[in-house]
Amino acid sequence: MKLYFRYFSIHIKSQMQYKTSFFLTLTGQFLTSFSAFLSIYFLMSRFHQVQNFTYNEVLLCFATVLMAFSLAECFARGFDTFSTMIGNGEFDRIMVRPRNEIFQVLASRIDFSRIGRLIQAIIIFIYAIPASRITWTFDKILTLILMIIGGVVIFSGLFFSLCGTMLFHNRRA
Amino acid sequence: MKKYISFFKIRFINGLQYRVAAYAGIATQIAWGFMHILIFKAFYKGDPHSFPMEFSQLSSYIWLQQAFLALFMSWYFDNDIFMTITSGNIAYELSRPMDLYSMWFTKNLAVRLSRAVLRCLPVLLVALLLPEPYGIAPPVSLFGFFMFIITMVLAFLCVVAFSMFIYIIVFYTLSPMGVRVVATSLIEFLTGSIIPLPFFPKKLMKIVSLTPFASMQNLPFRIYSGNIAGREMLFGVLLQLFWVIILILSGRLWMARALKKVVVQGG
Repeated sequence: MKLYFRYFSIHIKSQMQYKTSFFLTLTGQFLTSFSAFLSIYFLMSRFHQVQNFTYNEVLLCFATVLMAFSLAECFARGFDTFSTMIGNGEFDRIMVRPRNEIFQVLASRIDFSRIGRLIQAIIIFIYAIPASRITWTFDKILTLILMIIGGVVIFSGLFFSLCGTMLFHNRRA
Repeated sequence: MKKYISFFKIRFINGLQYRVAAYAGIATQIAWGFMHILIFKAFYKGDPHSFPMEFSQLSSYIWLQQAFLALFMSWYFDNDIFMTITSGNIAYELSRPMDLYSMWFTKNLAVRLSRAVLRCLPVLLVALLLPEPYGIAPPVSLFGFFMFIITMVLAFLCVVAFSMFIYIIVFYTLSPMGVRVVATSLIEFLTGSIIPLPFFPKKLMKIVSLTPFASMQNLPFRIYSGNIAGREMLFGVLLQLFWVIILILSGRLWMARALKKVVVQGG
């Protein structure tokens, strides 16, 4: 765990070297999911409800998925570069080191520009949680938190299995 | 002209080599098409009167979109071109006795077309076999189909001409990342690849339909299903022609200016 924090701080430092590029990418990330949000807004303002889900309830689901996805992309995208790692022999170097291979691949990249999406998810949560008029009992809060955690785990698992297992066979995505 | 045609041929045949990627793409497109239709079905069930187009028209739109995705996809940019600009290899490109704009233009045309050729038929076949409101309907009339083909070609040229601007911008920014993300999300949204343009609010749709974005996939797909017809169609085609000419001319001018001040990276 201590090693992971070392990787973490190195990634922050290296990405902060190019501040303008970092913030541009962050804005770009924000815009990408913002167009999805706009589509939902347009559709919901035309139809008002979908299968008895109201606009605010749909937003709540959207924010949950968006948050889970952006967290997974931020922390589990190391598998994305896995193909190049195998291709250029970087993975051989990793296997030589006395640490877990999956851990090293995972920590090889932490993409903080995904925070752009995370911010958007948080903003939508701030709007949708009071607006959905749900009476927040303990079990409902727990469900929401578990939904987000479960989402992160599922998306990370997908990145892992897709990029990982397929590439050993194809070597190209 | 001859050299561009043979360049196109090389790139086109090169693109046809990636069969496995195409199979994966076909599976994705079919799944994606079903998903989109199910989403809109849910909306349609709730309130069929607020639907801006008939459901069968929407299905045709979605299946055409999936089948010809490679022609109009907003996120495809040629990484080789970005690399030539940022690495300084542009010097070699410039010393060739070819016009750079035309060369990159044909390259983009060829890659997109070869991908579309590999992918479109199976998707269309699946869409044809589906039952009435969910599959692709036959074209409304012979004239409509003829116009569909013409607008498809123009829309294709329009998309490539627009993507040329992104390459030119990289001459100034030197990093494709930011421009690319912004351009992709903008095009994706305004051309109607997330939700078709008729689903936009009325006022916004009026504005967007005058921009070059509406001349991309929006026009041919809606002409095919008969959602746009008559005078509106003629106006659309003229507008499309106008945008294609404007985009290509301004792209050429801008590129000539950018090349005057080009900095060759590396050495």
